[in-house]
Amino acid sequence: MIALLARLGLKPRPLTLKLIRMLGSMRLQVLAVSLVVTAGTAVHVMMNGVVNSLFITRDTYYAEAMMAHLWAPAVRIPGGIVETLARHPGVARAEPRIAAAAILDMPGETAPVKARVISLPEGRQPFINRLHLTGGHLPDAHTDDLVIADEFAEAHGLKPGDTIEAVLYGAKKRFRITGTALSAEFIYAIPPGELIPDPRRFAVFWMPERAVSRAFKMEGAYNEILFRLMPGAMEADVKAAADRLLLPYGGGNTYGRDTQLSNQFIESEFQQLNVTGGIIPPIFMGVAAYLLNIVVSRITDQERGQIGLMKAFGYTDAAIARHYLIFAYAMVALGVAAGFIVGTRMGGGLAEIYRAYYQFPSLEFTAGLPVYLQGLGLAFLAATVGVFIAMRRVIALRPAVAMSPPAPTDYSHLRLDSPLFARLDQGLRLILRHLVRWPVRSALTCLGIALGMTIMVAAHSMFDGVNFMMQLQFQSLNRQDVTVGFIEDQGEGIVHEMAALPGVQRVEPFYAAPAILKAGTYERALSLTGRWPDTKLSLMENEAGEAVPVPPHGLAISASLSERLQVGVGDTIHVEFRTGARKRVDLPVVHIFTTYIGLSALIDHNELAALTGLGPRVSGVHLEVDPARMDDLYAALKKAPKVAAVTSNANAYAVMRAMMDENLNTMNLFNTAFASLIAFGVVFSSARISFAERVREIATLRVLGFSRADVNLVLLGELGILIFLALPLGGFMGRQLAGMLAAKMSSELFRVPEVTAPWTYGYATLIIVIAAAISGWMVMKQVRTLDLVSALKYSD
Amino acid sequence: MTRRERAPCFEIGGLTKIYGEGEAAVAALRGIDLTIGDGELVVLLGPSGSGKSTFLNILGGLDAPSAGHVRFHGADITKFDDRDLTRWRRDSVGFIFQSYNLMPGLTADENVRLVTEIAADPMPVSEALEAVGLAKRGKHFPSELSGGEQQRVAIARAIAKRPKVLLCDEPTGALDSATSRRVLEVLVDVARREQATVIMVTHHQGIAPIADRVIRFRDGQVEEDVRNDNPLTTAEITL
Ligand SMILES: Nc1ncnc2c1ncn2[C@@H]1O[C@H](COP(=O)(O)OP(=O)(O)OP(=O)(O)O)[C@@H](O)[C@H]1O
Ligand SMILES: [Mg+2]
Repeated sequence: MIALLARLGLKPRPLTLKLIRMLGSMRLQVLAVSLVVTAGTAVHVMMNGVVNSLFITRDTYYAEAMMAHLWAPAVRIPGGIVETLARHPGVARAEPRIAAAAILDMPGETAPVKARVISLPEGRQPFINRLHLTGGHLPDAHTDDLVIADEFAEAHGLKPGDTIEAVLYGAKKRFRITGTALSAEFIYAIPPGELIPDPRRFAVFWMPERAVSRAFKMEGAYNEILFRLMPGAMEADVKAAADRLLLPYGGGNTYGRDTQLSNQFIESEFQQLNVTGGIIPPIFMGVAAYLLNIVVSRITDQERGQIGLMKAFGYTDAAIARHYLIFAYAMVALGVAAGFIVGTRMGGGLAEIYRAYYQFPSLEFTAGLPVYLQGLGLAFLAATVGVFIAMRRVIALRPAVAMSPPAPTDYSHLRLDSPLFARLDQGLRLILRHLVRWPVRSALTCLGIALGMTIMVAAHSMFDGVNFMMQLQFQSLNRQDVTVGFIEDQGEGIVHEMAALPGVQRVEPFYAAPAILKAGTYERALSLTGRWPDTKLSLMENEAGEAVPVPPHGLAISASLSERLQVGVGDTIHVEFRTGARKRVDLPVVHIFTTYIGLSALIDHNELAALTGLGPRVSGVHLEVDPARMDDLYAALKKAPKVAAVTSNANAYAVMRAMMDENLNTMNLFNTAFASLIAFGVVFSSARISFAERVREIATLRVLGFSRADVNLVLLGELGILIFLALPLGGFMGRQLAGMLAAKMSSELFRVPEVTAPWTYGYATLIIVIAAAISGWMVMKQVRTLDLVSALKYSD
Repeated sequence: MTRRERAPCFEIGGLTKIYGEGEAAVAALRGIDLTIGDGELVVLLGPSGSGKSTFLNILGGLDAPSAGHVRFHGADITKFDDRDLTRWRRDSVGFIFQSYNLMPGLTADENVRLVTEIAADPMPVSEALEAVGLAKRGKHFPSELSGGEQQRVAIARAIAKRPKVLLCDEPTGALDSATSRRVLEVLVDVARREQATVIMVTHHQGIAPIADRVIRFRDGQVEEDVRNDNPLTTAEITL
């Protein structure tokens, strides 16, 4: 460094030279500061940069695609209604369409594949939710050719010109593909009730309106109206008008982007990234400030004489502080620069992961200048705080005091001559007195180590939480092998039809009755699920893990819904049915059960039948299937005319597992690496500083005839005690942080359970212990090579 | 008479210490040959930079020579490994430095006990503090003691193990003359009583008459080696 400056023709002043030398002698600690800053900046740039990229990309895409503001689904809407709604104040455009579920028989897939069929206006792009064609062209208005979702085409190697077999409304037919496309409605393309996109098993088709209405027997009618609103329009007002007008046609649950499935997932992703990006980098910077404080304290302790001299010469405190700040900034600047590079690269990697799950025409990682500036600001704030805390003592020094060698540290208030203390040996006394003599420093060291543990525990808890949720959701509670949804609600007779299918061992029907649930000022459109008693496949349990039955009267609701509507057991929910007699009733909440996915409200099917006035209806069934005959069942379901969707529990689990393994593991690895780095930096710096501060004492002990092992014990004993205290503290704080992250990341779609596996604590402890062992080993090496003579000379 | 027949404590031959290498090399000691008898009180004089501290440090096993040997009762300590040196320092050598090097985290009592807990044949802590006249200050921390008192605690700590050798590097260097006399008195008194071999480095010519032998260093060599068969007491010298 000095040579470099010289070569550049710069002649650093002696003070500067000295500072550079000191930093050189503490290069490992300087490196630790820079690395922690690098990690903090990198996480900041990555997380917030990805949010930024996703946000801009999504909004641009929505604008180009004329993404709908409102979706108004219904059963059968006569064309005339559309005109009326289009004239409603605030509506820029209203466009009708037909959207329906279908199943496909894809080669290579034993299970029937789910599909969403959406109508295209006569021979043109829709005005609302325009497609982004990635190949081929739109189908001719008079054909039943179709455009398919790009990712599905890719997953099955389909291209324009190929054909595909689908069952539309019970009729199997072969269709020709004219093009592939992306849609702003299906950026995160999943069927309702699922969590992770599976491009092999979910397709979206766009077909000419005429063909769709013929296939679904909807001639002259539609089942959904999309709205674009004028800038500044009252969304709620348009929604209310649409609900009112469509109620007689099976509508009345118009929804906006906030509950549009794909958009909801994107929003929840923003939420999670914002939480991580907002909480983690400041923790890193806090640690960096702490480490810097250690380094600068050490330097100023050694340079106190010089500082006194400078003061005596009339240097102001500000001038002296500036001297150290510049070097702190240099250290931090290196870390920030590296953090920008690493963060941008990692952001690119993260964007890559998002590209696999979110279908955008293009998604580039562009963090944007503000994100970089924030990162810079955060790091420099940390540096400034670290330096000023370290300088506090020095600035308070009077020049004369500063210039005389430091008096023996005053321990007089720590006499501690209790009988217990009297029995301790001298080594232990030294350790304890030193700890208590520097309470703030000891506490900070303890806190720093605990923070490393905190991040590891919190990061890994997210992983534990998702694992726990999967275990509970896919194995303990939902024991069905297959869930079948029907193209329209069926009578109870369907249960026997299903039971007769090959391999079916048990059939449990359910009925989903669309409704609006209201409690006080809260409301949510949600189907009430009618359940038959004695279910064995789809179970509920409460927070304590006890089985929750569906009550004979009233509702059992999920904890997520109870939060959404702010109701508890004993409260009532006002239910406005959107089907049958459109009844409005108040129903009591009888039970609350735990679920981590979605919202749900369960009701006894008899009560539901009475309330809707439709009699017993069946929307779908859960099946228990003989594993050996699964393929036979699938083959039969592909031919069954009333089937609209088939969901395999095992598949859903596998898809989620794969995503966890591929991505969450990567993230987790990063978090763990960063957290270990923090733990390491803190433990290591503390060990080094404790050594540096006490060389003289150590040398004295050696001169008095203490062995290396004795001295190591005194030095490392202190660190050991701090680590011993830091481990439970870090475990506790990690659990708290995990709880906070889980709460902040939870959305209507899913909640992260507040779970930390015992193994996580063990693992985090292990990392800390390894860091301590390596630091301890390095300290021991220093003790071994300690030059007693020079250690005993007065430094400076 | 009897003093001439002392058994040798240290036999030093060809002791050389060179710091650094090549052009930057500094020869701190250039072939010292000395025999120091058991129980002898040696005062070591010499100008600054003449190698006194280096010599003392090598004798105490704090530093290793570049060449030569130091036999202590026949055993060459320059050949000792770390474990032997540790044991030797623990049981046989007491050090007293100009800077007192007390452990600031321990009281006077505890500083002495630091040594008595590990030494082979120590005296009671109270006796050591009594010997330096600080029996009543045992519960005080170094920060609560004056420089002279701190040095006396250091002496108590050094003699508590009943060392065979006391190595003192300018023990009174930081003290005024009255305090110096008090400290010297204690030091000499205890050393004589314990029959310890004392080598005391000092800049103070006036101290020399209390010694059995005065050695003068110059440029890393022995310039002068004078026996004194009639040492004065500390009360008799002028400081
Ligand atoms: N660690 C070292 N590296 C290089 N040279 C050294 C070192 N220690 C001592 N010297 C040199 O060795 C020589 C002898 O030093 P020493 O400390 O033994 O002198 P001294 O007689 O004790 O002086 P003083 O009376 O000033 O204490 C000096 O020239 C000194 O500069
Ligand atoms: Mg000296």
